[in-house]
This record gives sequence, C-alpha cells and structure tokens, in this order.
Amino acid sequence: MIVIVDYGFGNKINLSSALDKIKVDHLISSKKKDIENCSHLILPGVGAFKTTINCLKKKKLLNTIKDIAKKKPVLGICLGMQLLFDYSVENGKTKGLGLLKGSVKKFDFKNKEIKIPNIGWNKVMTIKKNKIFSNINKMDEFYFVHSYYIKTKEKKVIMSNSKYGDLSFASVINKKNIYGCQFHPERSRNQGLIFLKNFCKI
Amino acid sequence: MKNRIIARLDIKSLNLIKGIHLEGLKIIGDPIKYAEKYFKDNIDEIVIIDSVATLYNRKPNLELLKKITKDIFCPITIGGGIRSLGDAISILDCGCDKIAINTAAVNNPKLITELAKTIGSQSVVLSIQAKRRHGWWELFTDNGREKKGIDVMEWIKRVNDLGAGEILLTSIDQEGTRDGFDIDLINQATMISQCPIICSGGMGKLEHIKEVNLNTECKAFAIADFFHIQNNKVRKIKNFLLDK
Repeated sequence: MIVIVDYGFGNKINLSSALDKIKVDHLISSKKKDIENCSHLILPGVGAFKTTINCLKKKKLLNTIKDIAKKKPVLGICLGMQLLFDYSVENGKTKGLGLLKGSVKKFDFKNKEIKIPNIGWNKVMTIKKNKIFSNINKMDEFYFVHSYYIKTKEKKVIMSNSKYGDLSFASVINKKNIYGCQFHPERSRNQGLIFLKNFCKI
Repeated sequence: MKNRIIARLDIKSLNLIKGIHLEGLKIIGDPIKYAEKYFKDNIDEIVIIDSVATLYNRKPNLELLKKITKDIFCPITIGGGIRSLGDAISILDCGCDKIAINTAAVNNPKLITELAKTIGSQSVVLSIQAKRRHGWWELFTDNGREKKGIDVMEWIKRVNDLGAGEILLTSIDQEGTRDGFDIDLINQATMISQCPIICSGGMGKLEHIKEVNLNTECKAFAIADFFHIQNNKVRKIKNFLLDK
C-alpha cells in the first residue's frame, strides 16, 4: 500500500484524489506502523519547512522515514522534496531529513519585478533519462508554487531543471529509490497524473 | 514570464453567482459543472470565493467545496469565511492548495503570519478589495460592504511583510462592468508588492488583458463574467496571448 504522510495540515487530500483518479490504493497516515508497512511513501507538499519537521519529530517519524528511504520508493513533492535535504533556511535554519546532500534556499532576485513565490506553469527540462519521465512529453508543463529551491553540489541527483527569472533550479531529483519534484504533479493535469503513475510503478 | 488565466467562481449557498461592483448578485448555475468545464478547457487555476460566508458569519460549505475539487487536477484557491488557522486547515482538507483571506486578516493581521508559518506563505492569498478615491484606493472588506479607511497600497506593503504569498486584488469600481481592469491600481500594486498580484474586476474583452500586459508587470488574471456570462473559452484567451 502506498502511504501519504499526514503532517496534520497541507494538501494531502488532492494528492489522494489524484491517486484515486489513477486507481492506486493508498492510505493517508501518520502512524509509524502504516509507514513501516508501506510499499511506497509520499511526502506531500504545502506547508512550512520548520513546522513540518517539528511535526514529524513530535510524531517520532523522522527515523522511520529515514529507514524506509533506504529500501522503498519515496517521493517528496515540493516541500516534501525539500525535507529530504540537509537543511532549509525557511523561518530560521532547520535541519531536514539529510537523505540527500544540499540545502534549501530562498529565491532572491536583484530584479524586483520578479515576484516571489514562483507561481505558475513551467516546462521541465530533463537532463538525464529516468523512468519517472515515461510517457511525458517534453513540451508538457507542470504547476509550481514555491519561494524556496534546492541548492546541491551533488549534481548527479538532478534529473531535470526548470527556470524562474534567470535562475535554473532542480525540478526533479532522484538518487537510488528516492525521488523528488519541486512542482505539484497532483495539480498538473494529465501529465502530473502520469508522473505519479510512473512513481507508483517503481 | 507567462500569463496565468484564472477562473474566478463566487458562490452563495449552492450556486455560482455574479454581481456588479460586488452587488446585485445574480445566480448563474451549478459551480461544480462550471469548475469542471474550465478545468477541461485548460484553465491555469481556479479561485472559489464563498462571497457571503463572512457577511453572515457563516462557515464555508465544506461538502460543496469537496465536490467541486474532487475531479479537478489544477490549482485551486478557496476563500470566504476563513477566520482561523483551524478554518484554513479544514479548507485545505477539501482538496485545495491555497486559501484566500480578507476580512479576518484586516481584523487580525497576525493571522497572516500564523497561517504562513504553518501552511507556508505560498498557500496564503490575501484577497484585497479596493475602491478608487481621489488619488488613492480605499480598502474594503465583507464583499465590498465595509470601508476601512485604510490605504490599499499601505495594506499591500504590510501583508507582504506579514507573510502573504499572493494578492488577489479586486477593483470594486471595475468589477462586473466589462470596462477593463483598473490599470493604475494594478500598476502601483505590482510595483509595491514583493509577491505576485492577481488582478480582478473589469475583464470584458481580450484587449483588456493586453492593456494590463503593456502597462504593468501583472501576469495573473482572475476572470468571472467573461467566462460565466459571456461564455468565452479559456482557449480563446490563450490563443490570443500566443498570437500577440
């Protein structure tokens, strides 16, 4: 069973509707046991970094998630992807899960005409072949809404980049069984549903 | 950056409604069907405002909202009647991505920060209703009924500092008139605001979007009448923008 981690807030419901749509059995849960028994784990987006990490800490799930990430497919969406890295600067420096090397930085443009957050539909420019992109057309656009982005020296985990202003940032990452996307596949029409389907098939 | 075309659905009880200057509300139809139609027609986003929830001190109709969002896989913002973090979370649980607040934020600006800290500022949309005065715009709440004596530009600066992720800026003067957007309002707001502005009120023909693009940095348009009553396709706007 695929488990969507429940932080107690966020947009887990529309992720659940998307999985319903592609007919994938799943469970929304914050119970240790459910997470330990999952086939795939999804860390949803929408939320603030610090509050979410504190919530996982309180529920004593940090180590459970780290253990799962060693053996089962994990997908972090937006904030969920950011949680996978070492730390974020959102609302003060906060340690993440540390499954991937790198940090989460805030957009900062000299040109103040570029607004923050980045909100809207953007292309995903793949730089490496990956089964997570199966049946996705390179012209397809995905929906982004974020003020923070991943900065990593470990370039090999970056599967695709996307652009905002003059900045190119990682939009899909993968290392072994760990996946992450900065966009919201559950909000990205049919191409988003295909992306989720690809993950569920891993 | 590309334009974002957003369908704005104001609802009252179980109906999609539309007014002029936010008044004289007319029933249009079933919001579930309209939302579905726009999603299928490739709308970029949908904004749903329960326009009178605050006014009658009512909670938003969660069951209806769940039905609207169920089969829609594009971003959805929901507003109206949200007064607390708890309200915001229950609205997100209806399957939406962002919540819009207006009256509650004016009465208690700290709520903006509280929301941003938990659900993330990218999910906090400030709905701002502006009425043109001599040389300034006055802030209104309660669906254009309560004037606040606050300068809209000052309020925009303040909500940016407090953690708003986006601003849905409605011109009460232009709303429902089909006379075009309030360019001065949008231009000033976009210059002041760090976060994106969605302009709302006045869309009557395709050229009105062009006018905003030529004179301001605003890239997001909340459109109601042009879709619901004039029956225009989303595609029509997108093709027009491509041809430009």
